[in-house]
Amino acid sequence: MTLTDTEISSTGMRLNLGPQHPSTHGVLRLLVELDGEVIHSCRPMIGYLHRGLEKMFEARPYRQTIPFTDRLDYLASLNCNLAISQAIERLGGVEVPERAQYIRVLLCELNRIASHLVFLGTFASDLGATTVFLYSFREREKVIDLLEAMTGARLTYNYIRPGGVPEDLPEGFAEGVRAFLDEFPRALDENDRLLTGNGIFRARLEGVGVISPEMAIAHGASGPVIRGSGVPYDIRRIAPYEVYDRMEFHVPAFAEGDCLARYRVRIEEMRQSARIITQCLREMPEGEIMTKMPKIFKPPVGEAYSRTESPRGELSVMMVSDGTPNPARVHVRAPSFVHLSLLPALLPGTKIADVVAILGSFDTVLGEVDR
Amino acid sequence: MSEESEIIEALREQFGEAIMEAEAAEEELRLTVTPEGLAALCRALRDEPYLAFDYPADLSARDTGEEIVLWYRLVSMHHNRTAILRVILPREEPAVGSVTPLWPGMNWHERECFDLYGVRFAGHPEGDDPARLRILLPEDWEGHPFRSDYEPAFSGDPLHGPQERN
Repeated sequence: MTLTDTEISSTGMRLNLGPQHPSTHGVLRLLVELDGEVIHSCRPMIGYLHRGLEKMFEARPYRQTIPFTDRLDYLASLNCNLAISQAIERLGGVEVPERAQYIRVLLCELNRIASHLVFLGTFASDLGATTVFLYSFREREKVIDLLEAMTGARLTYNYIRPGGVPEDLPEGFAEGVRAFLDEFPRALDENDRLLTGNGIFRARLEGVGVISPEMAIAHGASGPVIRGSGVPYDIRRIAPYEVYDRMEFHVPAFAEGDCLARYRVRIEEMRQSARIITQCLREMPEGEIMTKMPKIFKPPVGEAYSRTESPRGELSVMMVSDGTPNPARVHVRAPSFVHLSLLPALLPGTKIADVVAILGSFDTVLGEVDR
Repeated sequence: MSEESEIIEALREQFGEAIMEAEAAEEELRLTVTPEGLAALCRALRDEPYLAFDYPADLSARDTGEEIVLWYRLVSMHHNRTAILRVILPREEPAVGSVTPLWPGMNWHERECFDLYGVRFAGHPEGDDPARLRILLPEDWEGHPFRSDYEPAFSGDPLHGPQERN
């Protein structure tokens, strides 16, 4: 990706942020043009991680697409497993047993907490508060240990399958989750004392990168980004899937639209996820965890899509079947991809030092941007 | 159910032959639209209060081997309703009007459809220079790799550079 002279026309200084830069959390290149330290224009350049996953899906039977989805949003791979499994199930008209639905919700919410804890640590260290990183990763380690006991992997879980989940909860898992949840609110309170009330931290975030609700909607923002602009758009609430319609939880939204609002949405979401997990453990019925599906699965000709709320926003998979054992087309609508497209509209007029804060507040994962 | 059917009735009345097929589902409209009729229909879908599809959720393309199918998904925040638009384009030089002026969120989705399938979007803010439109692939890439007739320019091990095809 060479830079041609026609790309940006002005007399200011051009600066490349990335593709190798710790605050881009992956290989993202931002070409910004500066006037002093004020940004004139910004052009994000992506594709450094493009592996053609959507094309690879077309060359494999439906079930074999699952491990690839682990490499989309690698901080929340269970949520990606879920999105594609749901699309396959809708295509084939497969019902998922109730217990499996509870296990899915339980795991996805644990994964959401783990993902938001990574956000918390990296976001704070981007802004210079490096201590928080250690505290949040201490908590995340406990979640990862639980998920490892369940799935056998620490990051690429490959666990949720079309038709259900492959294994039931291991012995002692529920107790482990309860023990974690007992401790977790205290850790969040500790974080509030350490970070949320910190004057320097707030000064870096308040009024920075303000997205109006109209702009968020017109650009297709989702997840904590749109809820940080005061729009309570949460797929778990407006189009419930699995057993989310039975769960009691609050959809946090803050009207300020700045980086601090997006941060606060995620902190509050972790508390809500903990509530959902508690309800799952309490209400989970006994029973089957996997629907029997034919070895060679050929869904009828047609198309289906799923909408799920991943930690980053609306993750949806569109899938087309032509009656063969392989999908004819799979398209992944990745929330981070959409959020990065906001930057050219959002950054002009802000200071170069705020780019790190704004980008960090989007919590992008380049694996799902580039696919 | 009935409300969606009524909307489809109204749309058919207003747009006539621009809507080739229409189907109502629960909280969902599924329309197949002619490429020429897309722009006017999209404007109505966004601006009419009873439609109010203000949220650009998704856009993807697909190559069936005979034609290119575009698949738009729009959401109305106010009515909590989804609209699926299908637009069928010829495989030779597929082109349609851009909807980015209506929904800025469609910008990168349209660039992706150009990058991977070669669909041209007239009126797209990036213009029609392929180097500016490419998004996932390098800007000097040749061809559109998700098309069914795509042949890579080289074979062999990508880690060790291009090799002559034999």
